[in-house]
Amino acid sequence: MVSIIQIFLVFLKIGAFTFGGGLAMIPIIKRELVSRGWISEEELADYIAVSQTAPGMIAVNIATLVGMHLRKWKGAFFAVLGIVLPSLVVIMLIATGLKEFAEIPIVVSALKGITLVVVILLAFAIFDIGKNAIKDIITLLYALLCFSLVFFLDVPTTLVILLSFVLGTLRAFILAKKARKKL
Amino acid sequence: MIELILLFIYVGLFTIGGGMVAIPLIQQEVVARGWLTLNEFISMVAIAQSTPGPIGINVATYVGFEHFGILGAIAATFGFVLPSFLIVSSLANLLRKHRSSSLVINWFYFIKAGIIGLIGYAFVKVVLITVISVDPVFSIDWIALLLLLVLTVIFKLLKKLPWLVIVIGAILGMLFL
Repeated sequence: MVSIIQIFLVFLKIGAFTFGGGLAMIPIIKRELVSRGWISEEELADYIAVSQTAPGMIAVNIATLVGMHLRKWKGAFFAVLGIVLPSLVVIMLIATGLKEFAEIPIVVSALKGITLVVVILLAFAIFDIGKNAIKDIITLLYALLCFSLVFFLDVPTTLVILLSFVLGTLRAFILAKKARKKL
Repeated sequence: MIELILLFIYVGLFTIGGGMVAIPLIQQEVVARGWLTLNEFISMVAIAQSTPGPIGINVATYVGFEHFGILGAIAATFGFVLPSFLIVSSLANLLRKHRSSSLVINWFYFIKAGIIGLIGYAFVKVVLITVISVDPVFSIDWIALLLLLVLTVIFKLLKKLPWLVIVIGAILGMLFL
């Protein structure tokens, strides 16, 4: 069984390296969790889907789900504690002393470099989750449709998720009908 | 303090689709209450983006700390995380029970594909602020592009240590950008 301390430490590490939003963290989360054998790639893809759909921040939601999966409530609690602790400490330090932190030239430069890594992380996230999510021509077209909706038409992501639920429900009914006809 | 916790519970409940969604919500509430001016809020978001950790958590911590010190920081973060923690952990149990029902399978069929579209959107957005610029005219930042290629090779070589690539990215940024 995975120990609570291990769960806490792994999510502490993920929290400390979260830049550019939770989605960019997918390759790091995958590296830390899937290669340790804590969850499967399929489960990770499931958890990301739930994290996007439910309220809250994606990284925190993934921590909750994985912690719950490994060690129930205790695991979920310590995973979330681990992922928020770096924020608490770093922000309090900066708020006390360095209010112009974000304007220091060297910080701006370092951040530009990190943003380039975020580009790479997002590209790999597309591959990592894509392997599991794009199964046929319909899913491929749907991914392109969702991209176009948010990119060109500024449709809120919440509506995209809602659309997925509507289409999923429809597909379930259509498939059930087809199956009945075959009988 | 209670108002602070309740406010972040409310924000946590309505943050759907990631931390960026929370920013305008927090802005409205915090500025209207006079806890921070709009300018203070904007520079705070800049800090939240340039420090590690989920952006929403960083902003919550900052707002709490500015007004009520360490306890405020902890209280705001706790309130922010509470709704999603309860909802998501109940969803985890429901998911385990119903993962093989046809309705859930078909929801996931579309949600997962949709998320690929959303990550693609995040990807294009980040490329547009780092390497390529289309406003006012199309141009490419060649130094950034070169660094991007170098970092991709390093990322491939250090596949086991993605966090180290973030550190290398920060160092290369300090040197060249």
